[in-house]
Amino acid sequence: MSSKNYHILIVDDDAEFHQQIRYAFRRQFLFSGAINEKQLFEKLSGEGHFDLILLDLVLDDSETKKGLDIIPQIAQRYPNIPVIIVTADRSIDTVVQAMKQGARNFLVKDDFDYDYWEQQFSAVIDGSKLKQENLVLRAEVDRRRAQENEAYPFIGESTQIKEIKRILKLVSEEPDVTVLITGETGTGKEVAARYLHAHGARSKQPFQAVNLSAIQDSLLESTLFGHKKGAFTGASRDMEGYFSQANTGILMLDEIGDIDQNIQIKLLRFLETKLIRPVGSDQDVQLDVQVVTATHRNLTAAVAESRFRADLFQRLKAMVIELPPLRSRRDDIPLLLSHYFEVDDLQKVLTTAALDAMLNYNWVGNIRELKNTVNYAQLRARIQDKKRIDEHCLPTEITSEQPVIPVSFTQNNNTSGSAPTDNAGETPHAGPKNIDEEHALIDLDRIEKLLIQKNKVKKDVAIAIGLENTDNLRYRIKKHFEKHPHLFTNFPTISQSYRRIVK
Amino acid sequence: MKIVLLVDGGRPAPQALTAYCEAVGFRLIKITPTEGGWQKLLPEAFGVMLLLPAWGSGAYLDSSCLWQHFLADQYPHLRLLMTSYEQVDYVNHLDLLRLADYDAAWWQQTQETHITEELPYFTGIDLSEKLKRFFAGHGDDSVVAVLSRIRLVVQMASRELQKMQTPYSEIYADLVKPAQLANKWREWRNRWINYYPLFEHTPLAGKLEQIALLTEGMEHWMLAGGKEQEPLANGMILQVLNDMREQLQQIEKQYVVQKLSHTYR
Repeated sequence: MSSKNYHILIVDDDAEFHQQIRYAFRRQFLFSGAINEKQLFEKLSGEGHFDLILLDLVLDDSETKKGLDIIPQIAQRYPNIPVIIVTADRSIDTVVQAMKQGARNFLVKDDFDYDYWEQQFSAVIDGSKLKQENLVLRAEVDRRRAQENEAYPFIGESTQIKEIKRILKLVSEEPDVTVLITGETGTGKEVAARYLHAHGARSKQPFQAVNLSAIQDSLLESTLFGHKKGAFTGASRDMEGYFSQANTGILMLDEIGDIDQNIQIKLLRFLETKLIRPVGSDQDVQLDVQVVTATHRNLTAAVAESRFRADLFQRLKAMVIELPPLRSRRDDIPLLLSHYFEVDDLQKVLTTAALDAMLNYNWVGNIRELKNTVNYAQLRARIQDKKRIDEHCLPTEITSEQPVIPVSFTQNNNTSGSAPTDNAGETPHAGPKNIDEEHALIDLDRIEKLLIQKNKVKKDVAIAIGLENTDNLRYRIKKHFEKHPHLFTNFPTISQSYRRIVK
Repeated sequence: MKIVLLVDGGRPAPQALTAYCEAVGFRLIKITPTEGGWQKLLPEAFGVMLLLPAWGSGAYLDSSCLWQHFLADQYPHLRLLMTSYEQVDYVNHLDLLRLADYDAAWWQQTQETHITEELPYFTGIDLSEKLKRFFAGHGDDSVVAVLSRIRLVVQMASRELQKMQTPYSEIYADLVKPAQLANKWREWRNRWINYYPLFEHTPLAGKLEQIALLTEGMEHWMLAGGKEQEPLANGMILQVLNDMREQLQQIEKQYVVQKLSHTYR
């Protein structure tokens, strides 16, 4: 007996044939037999698992090819059991009919050849098992993808979020449209992109998200488009880029406003031709990728300042979805807190004072800051041995500070460039030249204050702002410095803490 | 003088036919398909003339379709001429009762052999249909079906004996004896004897004759139910069965046309 122990069901009205097949293949397979349709289905329902059915077409003296009618019945009720027709009839009509009905192969008794038949039995069984494994793997991929989407839930019942969800669902029906998601840092741009993916025609296909600002400029091209072996020092083998990995699916390019002109040109080329060229290759590669971009920057201003290509901006803004800052949808804060605290009733984990403080806070770092605050507060509560989180467990800026950035500022800082609906708030340093400088000024002022409050512990400052790590904080400061070096004279603590950048 | 090969179908050809042919410039040469050599005459011949219907095994037989297959496949420039006492309206048919009506010009307007040409109906069993039944996978008339079952057992037994080194006593007990080879052989012989003489006036008669000779070599072993190990061990039995199968396959390929139904054409 083969180690595989494949179990084959022979269905033939010729009992002698059963006996002969059993004898010939006794070392390789385990056999059961049925001589008519009734017995066949009794065996299938009662005798456990079969790996293959060998089905004769003529099952009685009537010479009618009943087997042809049985094939679809088996396929419907036992789709995982493949059928091979084994018959004396070699007419082309019959072969074609049997294969159309779903038989995997057709063997003629007169052409019996031991090795060929054994190979066919094994090949059909192995092929069927491979197909089943693929189905299981596909289901597993779908399950993991669903889990991944659950890990990035798009939480919100406010009017703005409901409307955005509605639009995202509509857009998701257009699998080729380029989508630009704007909004402040931490407003959930990746979550929105995943929501689009989960509800769209490409939901079964890959989703890749990449933060462009977190990749060194010199590596960005090969990271996105891939490279060939030897394309540059260190390219020891061919490598696929994010575009190829996302083929047939969605690629989310976060912080699109931060890429340089060279990458802008290549991205524009892809959007227009669907072609990429890996670094070091002389061949274009055609891909089917839906591009979703995101940025917290004002691209209209960037275009006006010639930092961003107008033609690329025109392509990107085919569909613009602007995510509101958390402070403009405070109704969603309790929902978000419930989600991150994993409770239905916030009273169980938060005192009223703590909740009020959180509801009134401006959340400059938006949802990411809120999530980090929850982690921080839970830790503080454990340290202080408190059952419920009170205002003393919260970061001091939440309980002690007034809003740092008024809502009106972020409304002014949008891609559509619409007019502010409220008066701009007081900025810590007067006289910014443009909106970008004003933003930098506010941001640096906040970092300066936090550095003082947190005794210059950069990690704590990063958490308080809603950044994932100190690298991101450093990167943020570096970007400000590159654009507005003159501002740093106003921020001695930052200058001291980031001497290498400021120098 | 041009040559026309005559297949008389087991019936004496009328003297008048020979005389008529010579009068219009054709010499009739009678051929016997069961005997060798007749195919050598074909390249020089003007055509093959069938005297219809043929007579064999106590029945009238129509072999025209089989001759059409043979000539269309191998000698399409030859005319397949048919002569009978029947009133048939067909360009290549010669009415034996009205020979005087066919002048030399008639011979010039006869047609070469095409497989698509629809032949007229003649009295007698259509042997092309009989041949289909001969090769059918099922049914009481199928000769090949019985032979297949015998060959299946012999093939399995040979493999066990030669490749797997299984003792023949075991093979005989578990496989050969339960297969009742002697009974199967008798069944095959009965069917074969019913069929084989029907085709003696057809172009495949020679091949059937060869098969008949092959069967004689293993009849003893078969009728003994396959008890003897040696003919199986030296491969003789399987070799004969394979040769028979090859001959039959050649016949089937040449004369039994697979036609697709309208659904799958």
